[in-house]
Amino acid sequence: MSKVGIFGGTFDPIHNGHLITAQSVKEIRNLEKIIFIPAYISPHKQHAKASSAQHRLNMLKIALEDIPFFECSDFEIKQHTISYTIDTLREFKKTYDEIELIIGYDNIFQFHTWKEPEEILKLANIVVLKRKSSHPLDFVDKYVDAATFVQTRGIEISATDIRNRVHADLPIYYLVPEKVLEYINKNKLYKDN
Amino acid sequence: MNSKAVYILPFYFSHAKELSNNLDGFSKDDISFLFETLYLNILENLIGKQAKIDIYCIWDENRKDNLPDEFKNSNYNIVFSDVSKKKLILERLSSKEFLSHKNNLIIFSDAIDIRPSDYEQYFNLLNIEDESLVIAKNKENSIAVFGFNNYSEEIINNLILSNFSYNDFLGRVKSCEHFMHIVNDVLLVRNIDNFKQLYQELSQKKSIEYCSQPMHERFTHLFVEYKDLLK
Repeated sequence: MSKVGIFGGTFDPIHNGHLITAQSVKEIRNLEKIIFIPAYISPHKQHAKASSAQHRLNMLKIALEDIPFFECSDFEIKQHTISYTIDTLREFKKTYDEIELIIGYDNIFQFHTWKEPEEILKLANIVVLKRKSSHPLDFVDKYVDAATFVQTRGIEISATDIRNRVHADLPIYYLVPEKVLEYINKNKLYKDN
Repeated sequence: MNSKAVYILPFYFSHAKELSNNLDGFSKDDISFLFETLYLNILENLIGKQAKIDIYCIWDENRKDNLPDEFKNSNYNIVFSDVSKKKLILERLSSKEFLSHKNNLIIFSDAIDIRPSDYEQYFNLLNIEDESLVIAKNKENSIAVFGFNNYSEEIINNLILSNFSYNDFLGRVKSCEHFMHIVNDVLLVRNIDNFKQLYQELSQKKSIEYCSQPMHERFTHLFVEYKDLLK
């Protein structure tokens, strides 16, 4: 029976924090693999400026290409519309028996605002990434209660910080995989705000 | 007292009725012999090869008289307890032994295929400043090995409440700050299918790494006796 993790996000850019965290989740949840799915437009970041979907997808591909238990999917990007998790889960449920949806710690407290949260729970187990620095639970509703919290390593890397550093001509060595760094430089990403 | 400790929890006594159903066809004496052998096998892999570890053998307080001679060894600490309730055992250990060792490892006595080098690996993973857990489960998601550093009451309480079910435990530890290392699965011998798997495992040459020749011979006695169940 195939059990996979689905890790959605903007991934602008994919960084080592994402990869280290995903590796932990794969191990702790005994997943066959984790599929990274970059959003075309995140419902929660509709007004935020992001790099082109193609650049984000390309960076994911080169970051994951050597890792046997990571994959990426262009499903949401190909939809060319706001990427709702429920739609993605319905699609992937056609292929996989068991899905674990990996979300950030703060997302679980907003989960009731997501599109069709009840349906999401029927299709996937929610895995919440938690760090040592995470604040205590804001509240416990049925979604928090149903979720599995996974303590991840305290790798404090932020995509926003990476973009800001590149914009400020500061180095981002060790924050992103080397090939992603080369891609950012070659394509002059994040130079303009 | 050392900084590392291993506690061997006897599954047999607390689940005697369940085991007699799961191992249908086995005589009572042979079930007892099987679990005694599994228990001794763990001890054999720990003793001599693992210096500087305090070993605690949990044994049923109502069967003190049945303690095998092999356990009467100054290298072990025998803890007599009401083994029908894991809660009581863990609460008892929490009051003293867990607190006096930095790195603690709980192992079920019916676990097989743990090599001496695996123990070393478990303790290496725990031997860091940050709070860490090391968990090995079986294929059915029962926790077989549970290691922790920096004792936390919350962790132990949730382990008790989960009854050593891995998924249940993960669902409970919402505010746990321990980082988890999930190591290779371990075989727990609790039913006929596990017994068949035990036979397959021990038929492989590499099993000598965790099961000595004398231990193999003890198991072989059972394989011969119950060869019809192995088909």
